Amino acid sequence: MKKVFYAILFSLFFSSPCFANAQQSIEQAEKNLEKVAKLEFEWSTTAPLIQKAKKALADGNEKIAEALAKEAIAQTEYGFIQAEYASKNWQEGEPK
Amino acid sequence: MKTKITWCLAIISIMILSACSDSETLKGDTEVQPAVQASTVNYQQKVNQDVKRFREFFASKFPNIELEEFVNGAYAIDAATREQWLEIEEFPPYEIPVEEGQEFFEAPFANGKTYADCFENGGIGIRQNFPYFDEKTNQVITLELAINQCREANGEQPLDYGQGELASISAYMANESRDNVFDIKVNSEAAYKAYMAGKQFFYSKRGQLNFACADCHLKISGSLLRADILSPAIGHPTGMPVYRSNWGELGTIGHRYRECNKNVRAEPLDYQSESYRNLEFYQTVMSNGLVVNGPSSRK
Repeated sequence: MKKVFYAILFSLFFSSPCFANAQQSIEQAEKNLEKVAKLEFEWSTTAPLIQKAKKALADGNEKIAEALAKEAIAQTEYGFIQAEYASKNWQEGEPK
Repeated sequence: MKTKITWCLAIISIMILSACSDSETLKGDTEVQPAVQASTVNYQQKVNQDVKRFREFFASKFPNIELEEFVNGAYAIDAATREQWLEIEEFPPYEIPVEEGQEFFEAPFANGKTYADCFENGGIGIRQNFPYFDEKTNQVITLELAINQCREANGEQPLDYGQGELASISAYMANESRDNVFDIKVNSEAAYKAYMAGKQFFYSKRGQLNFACADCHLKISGSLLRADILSPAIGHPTGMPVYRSNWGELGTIGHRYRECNKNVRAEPLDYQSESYRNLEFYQTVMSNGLVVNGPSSRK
């Protein structure tokens, strides 16, 4: 029983975002980018980051690739927040 | 005793249930009313209230500027740049594209027909009617979209949106409509939805810089952004297409939308995307009552 418990804990720990490898981060960034683009809240800076991450990975710079991909993920998440905020509060800017 | 209690409970339950079903019917009745009201909503009136507030905002922000002056963008509000612009307008840089546009407009398609066959009044003096909401196809039709629809209906390939031949044709058509007054109608629920979608786009912040169209062209319009004066949003579509010095050529309003989005580091949408067409629809409605003065020149 203990062995099973430790096995689950171990797999959860190493599958957490902290240990996601560069390839996984790039894939996640691409998925998010597709979603945020559908919402029409894509930042123009995100796709170039993913391209740079891919190039870094191809050049063997995994750490740099992962950092770039994570930055791209963060940007897509800001895009989601913007879309959500705009859908509820866009009237804020209207002349009163 | 127990049987009596059970019977009592059963009767009370039946009474409660019937009361509930009555109230359901009542609820249903009351819900019908707004639906009937919705069909009689005066959308144009709602829109006119928006136009009024929009105008009042700019009238209070720029109290010395007459409404009709806003068709001149930043040159309406800044005397120094206005002088330079007036000098440029003596030999307007859009003159050659307009002449080319006329040639393209009059050149027959392979089937012998021309653009004139696609538009009312032979395409002359009609710029002020665009964009409009087409109830049949349930979408906003811009002049540029109509030009390409005309081509496709006559077996021709659509032109690239943004710049080039299409912008020149649009410029010629605008030039032939100068001083005609915009009066874009929002007469149906579907048209109002498109209008509201355009309005939401206008006020929604996007891009890495977190700016909405309204931030630059309403809230802080008239301010300097580096060396450029931010033009007021009222009158934006009247001068389209526009010859911008930094482009070095003529471009459509869609081209300008894409540029604005890029400036705030938002990924621009496709030319003639539904959102951009709705935005143009909203912006043009906000400019109702102003005249066509396109094509125009800007810095």
